[in-house]
Amino acid sequence: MMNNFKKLISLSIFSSLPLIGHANTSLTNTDVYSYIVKYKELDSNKRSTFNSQSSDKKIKALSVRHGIKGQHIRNISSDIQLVSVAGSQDEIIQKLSQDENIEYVSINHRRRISITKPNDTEFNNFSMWGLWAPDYAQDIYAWNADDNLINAQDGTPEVFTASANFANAWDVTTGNSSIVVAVLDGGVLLNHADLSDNLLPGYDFIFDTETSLDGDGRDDDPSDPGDCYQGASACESSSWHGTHVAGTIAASSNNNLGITGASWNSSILPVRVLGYDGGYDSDIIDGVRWAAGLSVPGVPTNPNPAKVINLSLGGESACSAAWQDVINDVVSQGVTLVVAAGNENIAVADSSPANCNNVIAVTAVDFGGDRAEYANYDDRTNIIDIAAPGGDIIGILSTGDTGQFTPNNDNAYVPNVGTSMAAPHVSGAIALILDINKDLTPETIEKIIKDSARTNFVTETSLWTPYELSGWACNVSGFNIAYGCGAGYLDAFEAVKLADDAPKINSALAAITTDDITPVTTQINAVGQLNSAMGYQVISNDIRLGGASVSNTGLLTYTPKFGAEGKDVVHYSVTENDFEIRSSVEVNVETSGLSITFQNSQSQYELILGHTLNFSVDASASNGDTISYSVDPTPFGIATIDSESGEFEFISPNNNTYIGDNLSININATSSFATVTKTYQVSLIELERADPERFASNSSAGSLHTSLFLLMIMSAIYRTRRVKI
Amino acid sequence: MIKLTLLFVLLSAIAACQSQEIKPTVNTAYSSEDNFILQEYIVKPVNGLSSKELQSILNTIGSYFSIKHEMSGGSFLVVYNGRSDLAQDQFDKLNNHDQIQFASLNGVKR
Repeated sequence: MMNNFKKLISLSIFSSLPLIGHANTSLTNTDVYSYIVKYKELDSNKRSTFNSQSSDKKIKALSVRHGIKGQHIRNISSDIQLVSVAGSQDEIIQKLSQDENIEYVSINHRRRISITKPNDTEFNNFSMWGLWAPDYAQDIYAWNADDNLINAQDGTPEVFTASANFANAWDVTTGNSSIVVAVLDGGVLLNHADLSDNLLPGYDFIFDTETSLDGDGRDDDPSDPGDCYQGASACESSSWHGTHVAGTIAASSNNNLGITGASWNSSILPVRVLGYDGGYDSDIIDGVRWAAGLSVPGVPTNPNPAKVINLSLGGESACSAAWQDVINDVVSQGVTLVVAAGNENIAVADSSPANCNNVIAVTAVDFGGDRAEYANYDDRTNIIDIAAPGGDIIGILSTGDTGQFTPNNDNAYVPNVGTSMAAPHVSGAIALILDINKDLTPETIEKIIKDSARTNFVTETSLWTPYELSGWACNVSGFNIAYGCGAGYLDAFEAVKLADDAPKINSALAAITTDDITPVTTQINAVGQLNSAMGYQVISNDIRLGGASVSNTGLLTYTPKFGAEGKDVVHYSVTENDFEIRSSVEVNVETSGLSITFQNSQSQYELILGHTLNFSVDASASNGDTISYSVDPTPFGIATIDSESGEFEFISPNNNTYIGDNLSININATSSFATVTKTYQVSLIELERADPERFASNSSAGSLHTSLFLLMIMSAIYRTRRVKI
Repeated sequence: MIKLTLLFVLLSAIAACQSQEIKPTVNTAYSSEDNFILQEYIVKPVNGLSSKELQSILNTIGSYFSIKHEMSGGSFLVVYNGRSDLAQDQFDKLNNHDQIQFASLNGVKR
């Protein structure tokens, strides 16, 4: 299968640059190119004269034969050689391809990635540096006459050390509208010209009107009315924060207008959870579950569940149980959460929900690669996962509005700084990754983001303690603190390439239909990318109507429960090396119409300790099948049943410790199509508590009736006498 | 005479009301309304517990709890509107109740 990255290679602009000579378009006959030459398998006579020679001598022989100047470079395999030859490419190819010893010859093309430059009018604005390739940024620098802003002298490669390399990633993918990224924020300006095309219907989760500032509580309008008002104590103007975040993730791109989004074509699900002076956990947590497709009381189900949830929000606290609970819920649904580390320049361990488990925590760096001065940092806790462009002196340009309190709806673009700006770069990169492989698990996505990060940290020499890292560095020399910024700088291009190494589901499994007595199998059609052993596993948490297993070759077997009817979903995982993907198959279970019925109406018995219980089990199959009986082992006593007749016997232990115990005995009736189990309850009682009538009816030991009754009377008399004494 | 009788009855009633003034049972020094706080908690009871059942549990802990609304994931938003000096103790009792999975402060995020 040709994967996306390989497609890119095959489609990319390529050229065969001369190994020696002038790097211009007027090539001469002295230019030297490399060629891949494969030699023919010849008969033994000819082989003795040519094939038996060394590679070096072969190309020398060919040089003499065709009047060319060839040199051996290296062997690609036993019969394929890489050579360099001076002269015209056409001429060399013509001569060598006609040689009787050569099966084929081809130019050893140099393949290059073509950098996609979107035509958005603001793309070359310095404040779009977050999306640039680090080296592409130098092109921008060279082109722009107003480079005083960055105060760089010569456009050295270090200037844009922390650019997230989206410009290269877009050659692999620009995203897909089927990948939904939820922006849990202050709502968005739904009519912004550079955003509206990528917006899905969202929801407003703000419960109280003091926070919502829109005059009502929860509703289906996620638009941002502004998060400030005249005379407010907590703010001076509205932030249009959600609109900014959404634009960084997926502004309409390559549309000759404004900015470029990290993922051009992904869909944004706006979920309003922040208003005046922030928002409450209770609203945000409900919004997170809704965004993931989970139910929220009183709110219609989200028809477009997100695969990524961006949380550019936080507060100083430990990770609460409520937050960890919702995070675990949505991650188990295959949703990745990206959380801003916070802007307090403190250890991220005190910033929630970035400090919760199972999220990707993002700190912010400036264009030069230093941790931004405001950005929360790691403190030897490995909580920060990745550093992404958040801006400092130069901010991040994105969609916004110039209205002070209420929106002007003027399709504005504004630069902002913050970890709130860094997180959406990561969310956008994940949206691209998911377009490469939509089945990646959140854990694998986090691994890809971290493993593909660039670690060329700017190291600062400082006497500041590494715990504080207040030098705004990702790394402080002498302290070996490379984790102030997590795994490194986000690199979207390396991330999409790495995502291509994960196994892929070739085709989703079609829904299976079976009845309640017939196991069914289906082959998981997954392909590994690394020639490593693949593993398969059933994730059983949603299976209600049967059981499922999978072989080590990916053959999935679903066994329905007899009598079950309805729809089941079997989730399964496929692993190769450290990569894991998950998918699912739907199983429709229909009734077979068959049944097994126990005729015995009685299911509760009392048994005197040390005695034996006997009764006959009678079960029948609706199709007349013969029934065979068995009984499950009991924790004490001895239970047996005749497999043909159904005659059951239980011998109770003669031990007072069991008095008062209620024993459950499972008796199985098996036909050719199913096994049905009926549970009988047996209460173990003392002799003196036995009800003679009930006991008599339950025991087959009829000869004991009188004796037992007499024993009880004697016991009673004896006790009466003891009282008198 | 009748007026005097009515006045006597009225004064007696007032005196009776004063004598029945509710006294704090835990902290007899408590008297100021300033020591009341309003706090919200996200409370997740054991699976399947209804709001009515949760309210019964809350009532066994104290009289200051009420359910504001049902949340996602089987949780409830619970309001504590009561004495501040008892708030931590009440919260601990809520969090440690065997029918409660967790209770978390409903914090603010920005």
